[in-house]
Amino acid sequence: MTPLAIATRDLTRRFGDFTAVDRVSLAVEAGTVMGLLGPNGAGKTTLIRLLLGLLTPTAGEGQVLGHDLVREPEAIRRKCGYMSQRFSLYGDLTVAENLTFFGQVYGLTGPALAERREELLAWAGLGDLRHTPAGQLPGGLRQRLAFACAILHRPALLFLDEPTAGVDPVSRRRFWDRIYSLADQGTTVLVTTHYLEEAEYCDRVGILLSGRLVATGTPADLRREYGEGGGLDRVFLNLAQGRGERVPGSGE
Amino acid sequence: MTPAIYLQGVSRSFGSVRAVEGVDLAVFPGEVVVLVGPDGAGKTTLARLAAGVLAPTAGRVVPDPRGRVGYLAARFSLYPDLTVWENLAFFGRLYGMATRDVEAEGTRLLEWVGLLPFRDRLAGALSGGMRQKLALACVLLHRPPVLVLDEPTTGVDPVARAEFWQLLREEARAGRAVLVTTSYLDEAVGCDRVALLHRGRILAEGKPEALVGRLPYRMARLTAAGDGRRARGELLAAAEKLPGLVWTQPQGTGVRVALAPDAPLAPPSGYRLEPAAPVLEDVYLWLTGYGAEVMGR
Repeated sequence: MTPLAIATRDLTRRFGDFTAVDRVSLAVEAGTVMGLLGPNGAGKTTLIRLLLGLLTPTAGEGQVLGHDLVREPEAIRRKCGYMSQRFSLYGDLTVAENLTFFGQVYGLTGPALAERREELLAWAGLGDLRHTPAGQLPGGLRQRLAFACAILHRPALLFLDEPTAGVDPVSRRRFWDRIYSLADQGTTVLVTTHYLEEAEYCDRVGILLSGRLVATGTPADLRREYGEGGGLDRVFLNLAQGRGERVPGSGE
Repeated sequence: MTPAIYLQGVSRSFGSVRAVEGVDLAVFPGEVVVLVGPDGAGKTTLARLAAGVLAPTAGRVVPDPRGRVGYLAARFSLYPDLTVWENLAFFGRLYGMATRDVEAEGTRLLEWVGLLPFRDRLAGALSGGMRQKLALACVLLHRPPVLVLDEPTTGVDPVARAEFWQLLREEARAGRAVLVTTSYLDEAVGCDRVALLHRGRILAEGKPEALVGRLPYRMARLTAAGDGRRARGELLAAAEKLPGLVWTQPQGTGVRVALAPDAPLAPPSGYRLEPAAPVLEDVYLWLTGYGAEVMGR
């Protein structure tokens, strides 16, 4: 059996009277690309902060990469990478300097760092641009650099926030080829997105509404069960409306 | 019928960068036209040209959009330390409207977008979707016959997005001409017409279902048969051998494939090949030569 990268039971987090994450039981096998869909305010960010050990659960329990969320948050964080859509690269540092900087943050030094940097420059196709300031790169290339920075320390679990929103189809294909190649080597990838076309690329998708994980399955399973012949957007709206959810604006 | 906004052979360069080239596009009263393209395709430049806030280097926009267009820029800013109502009143004054008219029209618009209960809330405390609805109310306040909205739903979640599009359709039904840009291809599905923008040019334009109908390929999805799972490499290798293959697109536990229209659905043993409904993204891939570019064909 494939080991579980994420295993939570009834994970709950309350802020005062507000339950941001409500009894979430989630099992994600290692090497899976898991998508997490939900409106703003549904609890996606809180769930990720719980999984990274940045927040303590109010109730429930969980393990990430075999480490307990409450007792071993440091061990978890060392093994995780994170790329946000509004990723924080240093615009006035060059491509290579950004990689060096993030490598040092993750504790890489000397020849090990240099070797990994060169490997990723080649992998991301950024070798010719190593001396270009990151701020001068076009969007697609900046995204690739951010991705390389997020995987410098070979994380076993990678969090990606809307990784390919707004990217042209050819670049998106190449980006997903890279995500899949990591997953095929055993990296677990958790993708949060608003972008339903992007969710189609995930092996499995979980839908989060008002802090509850209301459905999980492959995109095909979810379409069959809740989609009424439509796409994932239909699945999503049906589930949201089925819960009597009238999200005014979006309620963050 | 006369177009409410008509871009005739419009081009716009910034120095040596040709952001928009030879675009012809008309938007008629009563319709929602969606301009779809990735970041960098020229959406914002085209929106600014249509709104009359940027002059074309070649071609023209008729009739003159200035004063007739409600324009919601991609980085439209509300005043976060003013309330919902104060923001509206501010725009009313900007448009030179009488207080009485602002009161009446502003109240109607807030009710319509569902923000009347939040009239006294600070704009900075609204969610993303609510902010976009308030912005829409602000640009509609002076009742412009044309609406140009640049990426109004970026970063807005799917539920709020569906509500926002519903509002736009209602505006069109009331007789306005609505031009919207987006990078989400799936958003164009419910609109009247869609124009696919790529590197500053319009690749194709028409009703979404008509565009999808033009796709000269048969779409299908290859997966492992039964409950089995296959490694992505294996799936891709099997897809590569399908008769009539044009392109592959790994998606989760399967591979989406484009096949020649007369190709049989003949999966190798151990695999399942099911027909898949073509979508606008496939049309975009076809017209940008995706097969050639990614597959080396």
